[in-house]
Amino acid sequence: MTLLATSDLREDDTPMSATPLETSFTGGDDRALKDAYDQYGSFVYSICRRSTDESTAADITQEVFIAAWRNRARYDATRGGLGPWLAGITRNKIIDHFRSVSREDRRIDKVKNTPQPAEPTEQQLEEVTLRMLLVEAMDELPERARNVITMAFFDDLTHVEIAARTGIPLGTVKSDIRRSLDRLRHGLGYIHG
Amino acid sequence: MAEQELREWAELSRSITDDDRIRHTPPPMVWDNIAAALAADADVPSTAEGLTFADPIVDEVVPPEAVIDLSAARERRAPVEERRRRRNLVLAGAASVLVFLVGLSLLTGIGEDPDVTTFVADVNNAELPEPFDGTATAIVAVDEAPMLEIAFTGELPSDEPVELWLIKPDLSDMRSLGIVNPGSDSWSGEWPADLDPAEYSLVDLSIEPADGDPTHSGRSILRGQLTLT
Repeated sequence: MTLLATSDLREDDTPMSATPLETSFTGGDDRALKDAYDQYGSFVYSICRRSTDESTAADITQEVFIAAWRNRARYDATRGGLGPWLAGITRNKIIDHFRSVSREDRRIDKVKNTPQPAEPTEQQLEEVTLRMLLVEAMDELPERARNVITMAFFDDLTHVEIAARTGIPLGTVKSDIRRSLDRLRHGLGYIHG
Repeated sequence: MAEQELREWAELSRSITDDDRIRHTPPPMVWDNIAAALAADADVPSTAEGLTFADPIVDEVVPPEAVIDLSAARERRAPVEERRRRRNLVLAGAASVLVFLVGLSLLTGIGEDPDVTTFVADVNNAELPEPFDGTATAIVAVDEAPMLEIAFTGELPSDEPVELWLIKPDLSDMRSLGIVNPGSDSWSGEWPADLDPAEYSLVDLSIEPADGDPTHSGRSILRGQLTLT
């Protein structure tokens, strides 16, 4: 693929600042948990649904938000967004779930011929979580930036080619890409790299 | 570095599947349950304010106490016929499990980070029902991804499965962390994020025969109580 110039990617190492939700969440604002649930509840539940049934996914989602709120002081926005932090808790909860399901319970389920989702490996969980986080992070990009970064990622286009194809000034393409990568780093922090 | 990073981003983005884009809406009762659970501890400060991991266990040697009989907890979980069968199974005498702090340097350096809360257990298993010839040291490092690491001296049994448990001292609950590899000299894994080391403070290894019974066998070979360092 065609790579962008290194100098265009990032001009400094300043971490992306926390969003208002992330700030209010760590501050224990009364509305923050509900806001976080409204924003990420479906995401967390959907991660769970990739490897568990509906009932278990609901239980784990519930546990994730309770644990997150009780341990909100551990969240550090400089290390990544609230989404990846919740995704990390979710991943751990799913692993815990499969560890705690007794061997006998699983045998009984098999005897009953109850269809059970296949137990994912930790690597599979990690990969699914990363991909779903990237979907979230890209969806949160402004439309123009999302289009630009999509052309860079999927079509292997250079800045110049993107500028020519879209009619967006070259400098704007560069800044869109730089800011998008910052947002993606934040959106996948805690989990990625 | 940036080029490599961009390559990784592009590769990851191209690996996205249709399933990765599907979002399910959780049932309404999920939020209801969250709100209800947190309403119960609305006045409880968060971890950073020092309650969850700091208060229940003090930084001192835990006085010797009787080896805990797990049969009561087991009975709460076992079917009636199993309870009948086990009624006469008595685990422990009145001897003590000696718990003391050990230097963190015994293990992996996990405790070197001053920002990480650590719990340590060292074990004297001489009075357990079926002690194995060795000891163990367990460390829980509590940060955003708590880890439990156990180092064994001596060789664990390899002829029967050995299972790792976390148990509340009052026996109101226990959690299996799974089977320890036969003959292993260590175990390492994530501490369950929903468990407080101050509450599930007994680390226990037991022989678990392949009898189809998922509850604790009562055949503990090693046990120690985690203590906040």
